Amino acid sequence: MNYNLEISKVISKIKENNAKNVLLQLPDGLKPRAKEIVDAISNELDVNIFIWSGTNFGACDVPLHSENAGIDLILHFGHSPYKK
Amino acid sequence: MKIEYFETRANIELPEITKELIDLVKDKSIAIFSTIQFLEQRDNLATKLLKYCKIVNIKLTHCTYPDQILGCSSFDSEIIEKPELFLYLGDGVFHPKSLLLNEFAEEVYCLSPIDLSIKKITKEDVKSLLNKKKVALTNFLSSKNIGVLITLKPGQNNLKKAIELKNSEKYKDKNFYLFLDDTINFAELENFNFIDCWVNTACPRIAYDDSIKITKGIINLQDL
Repeated sequence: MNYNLEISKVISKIKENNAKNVLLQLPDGLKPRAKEIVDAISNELDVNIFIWSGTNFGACDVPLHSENAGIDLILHFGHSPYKK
Repeated sequence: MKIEYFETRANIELPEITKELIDLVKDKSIAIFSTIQFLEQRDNLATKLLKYCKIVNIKLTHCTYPDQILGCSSFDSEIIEKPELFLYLGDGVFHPKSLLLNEFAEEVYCLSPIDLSIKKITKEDVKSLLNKKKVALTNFLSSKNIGVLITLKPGQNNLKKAIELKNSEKYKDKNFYLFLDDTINFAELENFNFIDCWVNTACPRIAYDDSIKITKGIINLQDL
């Protein structure tokens, strides 16, 4: 299945947020494409990129505590924002 | 902490609608749900089906868009105009099963986005899970030491409700122990062998789909 990873939007959001340390959070089905995203970002920007190895069950499931590791922007894939 | 969301919608075109699908929906009121990945395809399909049937648009709780479905969205939702038929466009049965677990639907027709083949799922497919819920409630009522599961995941955190349960007059005969974690690890929970029964305040699907992973009964807070 061909899913649109929105790479141009990823790059522009990193720039817009002036982020230095970004965390990619992918659902299981998209985890194999983490390398593609990391490589695309690295080719354009000088930022530290981390890949969340834990779960991404939905937009309800965001690792906010990654802030403790200096993450300033989470790039959450596969879901629209969660409405409480 | 800033979060940016990328919907990763599918880049596919649905095939032509089949006679089987037309015969299924003809002259009925139908709702078609999908996950965010196939919402555009869902909207295109609904437009094509308009000449054969009535489309009921439904906005479920926690969703950004009408006709979008999450694994949990129907648990807090109320359907005002109930359609005669529920359809789901997407892969797998995890999302459409939520409609059966909440008893919104007796059956759901799942359409493959690849070839529009139709697979029907019914209450029979979730019967054992619904029976487990009844058993778990009985178990809770007769248990003394209750473990209350609370997650740190931001959309599933119900700490306040967990504390309210602990302090409730209704269950003052019980001992409540509050457990905190990020992702609930069922193997770890087995270590707490003094617990007679678990109450889940996190994702409601845990007490259904994951109930098999835990030896003691587990019930959702909203089912008490």
